Amino acid sequence: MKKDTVIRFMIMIASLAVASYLACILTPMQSDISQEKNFLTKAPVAGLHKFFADVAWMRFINFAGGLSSIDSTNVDKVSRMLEKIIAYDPNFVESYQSGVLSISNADPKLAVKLLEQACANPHLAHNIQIPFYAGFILSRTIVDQNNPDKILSEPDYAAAARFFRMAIQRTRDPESYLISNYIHAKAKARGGEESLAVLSVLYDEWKMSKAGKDEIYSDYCQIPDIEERLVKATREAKYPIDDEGRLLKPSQKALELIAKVQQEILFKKHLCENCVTPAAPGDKFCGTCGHAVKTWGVCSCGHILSSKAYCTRCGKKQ
Amino acid sequence: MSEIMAIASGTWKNILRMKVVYFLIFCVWVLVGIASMYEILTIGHHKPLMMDVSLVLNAIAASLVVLSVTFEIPRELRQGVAATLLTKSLGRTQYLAGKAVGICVAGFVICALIAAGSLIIYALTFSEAIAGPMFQAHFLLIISIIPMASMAVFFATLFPEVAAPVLTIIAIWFAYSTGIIANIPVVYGGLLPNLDLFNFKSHAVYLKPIPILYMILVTVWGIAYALFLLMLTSFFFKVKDIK
Ligand SMILES: [Zn+2]
Ligand SMILES: [Zn+2]
Repeated sequence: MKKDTVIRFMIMIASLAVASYLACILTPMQSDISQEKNFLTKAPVAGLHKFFADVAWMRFINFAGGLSSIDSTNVDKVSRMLEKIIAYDPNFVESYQSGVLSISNADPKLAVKLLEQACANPHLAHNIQIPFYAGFILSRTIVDQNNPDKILSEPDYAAAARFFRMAIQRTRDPESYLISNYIHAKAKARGGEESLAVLSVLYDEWKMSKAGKDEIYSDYCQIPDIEERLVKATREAKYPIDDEGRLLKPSQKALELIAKVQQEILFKKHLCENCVTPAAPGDKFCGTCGHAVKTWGVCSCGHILSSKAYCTRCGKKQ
Repeated sequence: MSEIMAIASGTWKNILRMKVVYFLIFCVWVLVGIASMYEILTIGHHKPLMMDVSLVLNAIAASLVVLSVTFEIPRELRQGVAATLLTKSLGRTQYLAGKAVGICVAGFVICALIAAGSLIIYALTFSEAIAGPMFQAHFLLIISIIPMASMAVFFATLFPEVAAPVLTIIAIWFAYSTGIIANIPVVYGGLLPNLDLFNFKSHAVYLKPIPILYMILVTVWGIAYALFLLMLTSFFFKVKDIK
């Protein structure tokens, strides 16, 4: 063999070894850097996924925009177009926020499925709307627009609560509507009298927050204004109203829970035992219902205290 | 070395001397600019669209530049150009290497022009600074010319004028579509080219930075794979009859 043949052969083997070795390092590195690659379609599109997603998006807008409504007659086609966009670009937020929502009345089950996939996408891990939409769809009864007797999806409150909780956990400062939706879904999942269920959900959430459980792994989440919500829920549980707005009598169970909540949590808030309205310092009777309340915030000299360190009439340290 | 560079400079000068190349670069810039008019058709998605269009067109341009060598080599072999060089055994390897280097240089210049122009158009249209990942995505695309050039040289040497470009295009398409076969790194990236390693087009849109270490390693991979394929080609080329 000639010398240059040997050299060329050696170079070939060496470069093949280097390329193979680097490929073994680069392949896992790449799927770590581009995590969405694992969600992408396997179709041979020569790495042009993102561009094909744009084209599919424009086709979707063009088609869906021309429909007067998306219903059972056309939802299959619209869904296929949406699934195509998501397969090419799972990070495409608009395809969930406008796209999936547009099919939620015609194919709620598919909409929830697509949103659930998006919830697992690390790129969208901070998106609040996606789990919220999923919860929103799941907490409603959705009927076929062309055939009102046909129910497309029944509410699944437990699943809805899970999505609402996910939305709450994705933000430091959850909006009030997220929390209300979460509590109501959880209460609906418990069933029974709604105002009582809401109160018992809030009471459990409060207890768990005091126990300091790790919120990611348990079925509750941090609710910032829980005490205000408890006051409101207590009042509503004490004076429940029916669908027509008529006042009802609270059940024995509700009264027991109300007493427990008042004793354990709300005693610091100086609420009227009767109507659950806060009493002002020095009040002997409730200003709302006239019920006697336990007086608070009064110096032994009888002067009503402001939040200062000494009584402003007799100078006694408080 | 001087022979390699002589062949290389002949190749890139040939391409860069053609006025049509600059006209096509200009057309690409125009197409990128047009993407800004798609605001309504995409309901406000025209910004990512422009970035995607610039990357796709640059990738197509890279493939076309690389493809030009699949016409050039079979023609030169048929016409007996550089016949004296090809009679020497070392000369044949130098010829292949020179072609690969030449096509890489031409590709770098053309794709860098497209990338720079597109990014400037993007910055001017939306009056915002160019983010790092946008540069990185275009840069990796340009580096992918190295293994692609060796693939083109491989097919151009072994196949006649019509088959070579077709096979090169199929091979490039296949090498970018790693999803279709099980991704075993030694096979795909070792023996077969895995051009998808250079594909970070979505990062330019979602502004996710690519680690510098990855950029360096993937460049080394491109060079190593190109070297492997060129040496392999040189063995086939040696036994090939040339008039
Ligand atoms: Zn009262
Ligand atoms: Zn006093």
